[in-house]
Amino acid sequence: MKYKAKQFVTIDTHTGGNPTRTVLAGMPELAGETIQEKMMDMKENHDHIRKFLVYPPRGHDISSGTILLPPLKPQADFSVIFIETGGYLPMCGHDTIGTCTALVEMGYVDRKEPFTSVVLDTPAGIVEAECEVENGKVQTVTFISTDSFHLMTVYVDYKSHKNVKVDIAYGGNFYGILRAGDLGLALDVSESQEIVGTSMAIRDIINEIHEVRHPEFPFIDKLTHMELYRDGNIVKNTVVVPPGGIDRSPCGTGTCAKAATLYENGEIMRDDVFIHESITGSQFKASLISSEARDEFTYHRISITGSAWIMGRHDLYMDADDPLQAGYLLIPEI
Amino acid sequence: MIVKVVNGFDIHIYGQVLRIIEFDEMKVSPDGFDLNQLLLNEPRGNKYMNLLTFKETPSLIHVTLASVTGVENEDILLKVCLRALLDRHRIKTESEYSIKINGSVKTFKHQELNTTALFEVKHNGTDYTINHKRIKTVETDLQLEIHNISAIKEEINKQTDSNYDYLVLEHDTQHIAANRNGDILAHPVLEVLSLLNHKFEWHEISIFNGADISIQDGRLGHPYHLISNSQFYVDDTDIYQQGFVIK
Repeated sequence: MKYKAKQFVTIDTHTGGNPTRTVLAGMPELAGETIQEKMMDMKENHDHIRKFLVYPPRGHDISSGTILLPPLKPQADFSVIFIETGGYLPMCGHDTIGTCTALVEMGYVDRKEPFTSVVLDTPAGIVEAECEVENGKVQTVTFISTDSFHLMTVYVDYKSHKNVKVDIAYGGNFYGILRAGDLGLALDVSESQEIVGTSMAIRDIINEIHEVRHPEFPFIDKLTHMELYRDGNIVKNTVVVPPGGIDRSPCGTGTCAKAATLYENGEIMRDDVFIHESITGSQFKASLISSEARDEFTYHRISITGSAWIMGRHDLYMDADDPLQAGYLLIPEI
Repeated sequence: MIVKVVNGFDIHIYGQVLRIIEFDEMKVSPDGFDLNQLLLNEPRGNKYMNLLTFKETPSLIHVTLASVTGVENEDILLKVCLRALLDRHRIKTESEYSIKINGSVKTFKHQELNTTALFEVKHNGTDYTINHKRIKTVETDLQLEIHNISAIKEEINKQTDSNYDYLVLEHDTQHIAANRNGDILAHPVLEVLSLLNHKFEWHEISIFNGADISIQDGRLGHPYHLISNSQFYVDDTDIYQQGFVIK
């Protein structure tokens, strides 16, 4: 034991297999008045803490988490910064479900049954999560997405696969959505390395040929995530997240992008529910609750419902003598 | 609801992760749950994890050791476990310690807990045998750096041969090791360090994960660093009763 080390206290959850490390204590004071400013301060001045928390040897390729801060807005219970191996996200669906589950089950918010509301101040804005609670256990967490929309459909040649259809849609990030079978891939964990390699290659081809830009937030200007699916009443999917890992959950923002694509293709209507299943078998329920046409796109609000489970409580020690204090990652940084 | 709590702690040795848990913590599992698998696999563990459980008896410490990709550096992990248990005042200081693992008893002297001797290297013409393991070496033009990881993985896939336990790619003063399945071993492996020390007379070796290794008098020093003290929870509604593995 090294008592000279700095301690971070976390509650770890998994949302359909995808981990969330909710950091309760140990953060230095972050500069800024808003959560966006505090996120930028962490990114510019304390990024070693993100790496310490999510990179191996303390995390793994797709570890992610939330930095929990006192509320910076009066209506919020907490302000949060979303971190992952790839960097910072304005909003993350599976982390929202995981963190809210931890907050309710561990009593960090006033627990009410059958529903407890948790309001998070995120860099993407206020997110209100409704937690269904039974005997102290959070059964599900539902939150409403940011505006999601289908941007365009493109066709790509990749090795022997010609004219592969890819829908590009936004659900908080841009997703390239394509049928796994069109690439000869099965959605099985044993094929995960091939899924990641192929997906990242196709993403890079699309970014070279096509301009992918958010019409209202032009600084969001790249296709970052890929989403492979298999048709069915329950849509099986896997999302490949940057810099190159497989989302173990059905992916909250990826499910929103999928819902916008299904609407575009006439496969779902308002208030329809569809089930999105991850490569590990976990499921999210999505429902399109409103649509609004603006300029040339139709923007949707989508409710996402999923479940998380608490996995543990950790006291992590940041030791200045540890040469791997900032961890390492066997994936190129983006 | 949470129906089981398991106490343990994680350490790392040059990035190799070791999770240490007393056997009695794992003695009783909730129905349907496999605690050993749960604490090794995702989402609580991962492909990098080594899980060690121990039970102390008057003359022996009984140990199990498991990993998803195969256990490397077994003796180092056992010695470091002893060192950590001594530092935590969980076991008493003795002149030597006997550990029963996989049906065999290994004895370690107290003064040798912090270092381990390199292995003897046998050169068989085209490959090497070290500690009964066969190692294939390949010189490559690739810069063995993270930004080249895709090309490195392709080269490893091309060169991987199940007749060998380890593949070592070499480029100038860089190297990278993979196991027989082609999994990159980001942490040092004693057999590979023995090879590099023998072949190139390297005493200072940089590892792919950024760790720097120093070999003195034919021995590797292996300090450990505490990652966390942990309580692992099991919720009886959890959809994963054994966890899962994604490489």
